[in-house]
Amino acid sequence: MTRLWEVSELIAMEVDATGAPLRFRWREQVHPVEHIGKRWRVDLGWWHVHIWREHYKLATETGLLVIVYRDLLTGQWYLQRLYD
Amino acid sequence: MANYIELHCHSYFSLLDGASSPEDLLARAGELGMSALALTDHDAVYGAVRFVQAAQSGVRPILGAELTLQSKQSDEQLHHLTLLVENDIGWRNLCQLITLARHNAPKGEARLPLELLREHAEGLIALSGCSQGGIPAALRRGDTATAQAILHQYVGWFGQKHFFIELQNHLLPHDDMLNTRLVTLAEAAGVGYVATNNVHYATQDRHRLQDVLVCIRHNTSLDEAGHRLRPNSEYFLKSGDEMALLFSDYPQALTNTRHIAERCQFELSFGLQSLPTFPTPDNLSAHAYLEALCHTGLHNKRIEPSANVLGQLDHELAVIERSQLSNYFLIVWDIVHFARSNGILCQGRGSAANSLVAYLLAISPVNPLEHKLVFERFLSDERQVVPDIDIDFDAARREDVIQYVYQKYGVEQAAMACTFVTFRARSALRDVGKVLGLPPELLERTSGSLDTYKAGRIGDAAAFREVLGERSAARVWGQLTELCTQIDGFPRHLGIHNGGMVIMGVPLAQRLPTEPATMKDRYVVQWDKDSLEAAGLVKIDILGLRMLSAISDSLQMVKAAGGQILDFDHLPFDDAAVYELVSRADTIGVFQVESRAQAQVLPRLRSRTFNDLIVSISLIRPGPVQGDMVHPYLRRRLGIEPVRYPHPLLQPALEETLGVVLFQEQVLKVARDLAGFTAGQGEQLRRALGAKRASEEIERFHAAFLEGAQANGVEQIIASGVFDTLRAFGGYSFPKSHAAAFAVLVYQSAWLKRYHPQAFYAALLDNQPMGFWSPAVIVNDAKRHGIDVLPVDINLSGAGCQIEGTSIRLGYSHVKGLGDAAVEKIVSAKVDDRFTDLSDFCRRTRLPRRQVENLILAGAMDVWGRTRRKLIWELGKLSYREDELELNFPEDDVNFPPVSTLEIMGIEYEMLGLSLRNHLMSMYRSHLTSQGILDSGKLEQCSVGSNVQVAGLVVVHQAPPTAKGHRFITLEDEYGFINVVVRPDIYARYRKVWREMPLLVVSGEVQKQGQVTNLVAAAVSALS
Repeated sequence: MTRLWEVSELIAMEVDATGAPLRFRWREQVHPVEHIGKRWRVDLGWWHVHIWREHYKLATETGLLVIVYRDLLTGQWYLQRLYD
Repeated sequence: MANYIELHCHSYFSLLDGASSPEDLLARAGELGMSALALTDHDAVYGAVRFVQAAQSGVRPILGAELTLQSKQSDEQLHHLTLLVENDIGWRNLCQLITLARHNAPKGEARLPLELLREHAEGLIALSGCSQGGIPAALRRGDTATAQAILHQYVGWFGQKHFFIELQNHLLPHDDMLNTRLVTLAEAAGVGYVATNNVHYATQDRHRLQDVLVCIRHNTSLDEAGHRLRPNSEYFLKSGDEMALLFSDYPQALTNTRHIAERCQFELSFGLQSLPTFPTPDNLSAHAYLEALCHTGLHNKRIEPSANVLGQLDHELAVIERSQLSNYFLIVWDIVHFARSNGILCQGRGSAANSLVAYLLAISPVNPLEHKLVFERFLSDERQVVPDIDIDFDAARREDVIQYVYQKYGVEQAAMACTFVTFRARSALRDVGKVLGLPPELLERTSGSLDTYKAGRIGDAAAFREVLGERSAARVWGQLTELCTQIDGFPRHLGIHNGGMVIMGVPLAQRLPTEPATMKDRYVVQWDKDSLEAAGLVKIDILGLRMLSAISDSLQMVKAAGGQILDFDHLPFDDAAVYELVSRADTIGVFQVESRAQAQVLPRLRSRTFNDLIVSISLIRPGPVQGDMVHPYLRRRLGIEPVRYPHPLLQPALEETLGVVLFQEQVLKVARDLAGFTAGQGEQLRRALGAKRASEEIERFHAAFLEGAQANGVEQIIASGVFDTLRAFGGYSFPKSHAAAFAVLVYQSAWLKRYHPQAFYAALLDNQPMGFWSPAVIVNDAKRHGIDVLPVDINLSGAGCQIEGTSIRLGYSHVKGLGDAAVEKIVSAKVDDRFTDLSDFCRRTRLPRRQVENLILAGAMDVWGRTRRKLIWELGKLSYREDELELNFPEDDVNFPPVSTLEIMGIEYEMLGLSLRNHLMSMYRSHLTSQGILDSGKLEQCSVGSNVQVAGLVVVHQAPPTAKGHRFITLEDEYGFINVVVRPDIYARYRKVWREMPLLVVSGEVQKQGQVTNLVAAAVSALS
């Protein structure tokens, strides 16, 4: 069963030299990235509500399977989905 | 140097799909350090020549295309395949494949039956395509077996070394997985794999425009486009580093781009040897036959075969033969011969008139020896450019000529040049606005009030802000203007051919793809005129000129009226009365010299000879005005300033233009006489002077010029001054040959206006739209010359205008909404008997009611003595369809209130495009006079500097780009014209009035230039 947050939660992300996720802080806890499964970008709706995001499906060393994204307009990272 | 080369790239010649020009793509590739770039537009090589021309800066151009395939198994699924050209054979095969694909689908589309690849695979390298390729499509639905089968088929056709699996990574969710499967497939089959980015725009920010183009293509808005839009913005030209990151698992995919690029060594080049061999009698060589025809021409034109003439003829024929153009001349001669034999008026224009051969073959209408024209302007040994032969034909019969060429050479070997309709201000605003979801009425209003043609200037248009008000600040309007700026000049779709025909000795498809045009059985090549010329392909321009139709119709009318057959082939150019008409600027309807600008200068020029006409045409153009050549010439002509030559050596060349450099031919002569240039060198100099970016070349010529001048004993300072003059004027000079050919038509049309005005005006009206003036203005001019124009009469009229006594009777075809079919019906029905009343007319012609209504409103049925309102009423009650019984309607006494004259005029204007009554301004005359507002006649009598008020109907509104924001508005009243000059600030202050109101009251100051009066506007209001 997966839980899906409707409003993505802001997280603090640390990246490597190529801009890929290394570790992030979510709800007071730090989650180092163990493995990046998939990566994809969307760029939609520039004419009204612009959504430009880079998504990652990650497994963390803390045992989480998540989808995070980086808002390419603001640079902020968000946790979008958590798989139980 | 980058380690990656983009091999799959779309320019805006992938119509309504690619969002960058070929030039922008190359520039960006250069910035990224790519050593080469491929252009692979959809089923087309439209941009190939421009691509090759722009690729001078170290990025080698690779040609190719992305083909749309159709397989027999799955007709709905259209797959893509990327093809790159390795060598000559590959190019030929690509052209044939594209042609086959295009001819197998409706216009604008392409579908290549898969099996045809087998015969045409040689010389091409194939890449398996984007996600719409057959192989990736199969893999995505998990069908490995089909993917393998397709792969083996391609390898069978192209060869293992000529087929590559294409990998793309646009950071879509399933790209990685697909690439893994593709690589597995490739390795198992022993074929290579290569990375591409399926580029659709040069830089990332252009993805927005690409979305917009896709929406335009699908006729939808951004909000509703859904899956038709690409899911992200990754389809731009990426650097080697970016691609390396995306393909870190498959480094071979990147190095293979370089290997493939190195193999693609094809260079685009053509020769004249592709012309068909013209069939000559008695096995004569083309050269010999040409010579024979020229000697016949000498005889026909009664030219004395002096040593001078024969010497020039031999020289020209020799140059023509050395340039391998004898065949070409015969082909052109043949087309002209066909036309003349069929009574189709025609004459060559442009630089061909410099040629005696062209004159003797009746291609050109002027004898170059009589007008001191220079053959080398047209053709020389040094000049390696294909000559231009453009021929104007009677516009109404041009189609006959085109059909003749198709029949003679076959549709496989003859086709027309293509043209592209590009986005301009109005079309851009409407199309882009619609895509953005803006309300259509608002878009209509805004586009209707735009002053500019360039889509890029929409944003500054005051019209914009005027119509939108505060809304113009909203974000969406900013997006609109930005997108319009980007889309400016983009090709939108293939347009109607413009007359350039390409004829080859081999099937065209072997050299250049063809595709169906809108007209049935009409094909176009995928290059436009500019590309054809740059590629060295010979074409013949078969142009339609309405003045030739008008002249032809005039001659026929004169013959019909009095049996007189006018021989325009031998009309001498020496009638003083004709020149007097031109000098008076009584030139409405006369070819080339009827504009307001011409009317300003002609009285000062006072033409007396044919040469003066040539000068008129060449002088009064934006170029010479900008180069400040007009005033010096006029001052010298009027004796205000003395004629001077920078050096006596220049007198022979510049004598005819009083020391001013006016003609392109003079550039050659000056270079020859002062600096010893050969004619060929002179022509190269002339070209360089007129080109946009030739400063280096011009400098080299500068040095050579000074050197040559010194050898002639000319002081350096004088030589330098002369070269500066050439630099300043050379770019604006006009080909004298072109002007000479046109001057023939000026003379002929002026002659007709002087001696056969009825036939002349009638012919002008029948061939509208043409010329500078609207039909309404022409009618008023006729009236001022004592020729009445009578309304359409249901019994007296014919199809077109007719001479009736001392007047002209308008024809049925002048009524709005009546096409050829309707006119034909009336004419043939009338043969039996006159029309007695409305029901008689309707029963016999069975015209749709709408058209009958228009005839009534145009006044055609006034002869029956009933008011138009009553007739419309009767029409409504009349039943005259075939399958119904004819019913008679009882008379009833419905009374209609009288219609005002103004209303009638308005309706007439709508129905005919003109009004036959008194000029509109006469309705207001008494009111205006009581207010002290002057008419055009009284204005002429005012003294310079006086402040007056005038009124009139706007007939011309010009904003020449060289006039620095000034506008020229011409008002018409019942007596003539008023020239109004509007300064930029005055225009801006009353913009809406100037722009939208048809009747104006203008106050301003009187100015005179010689006999020409102008009013410099200070204020304006609408006349109501």
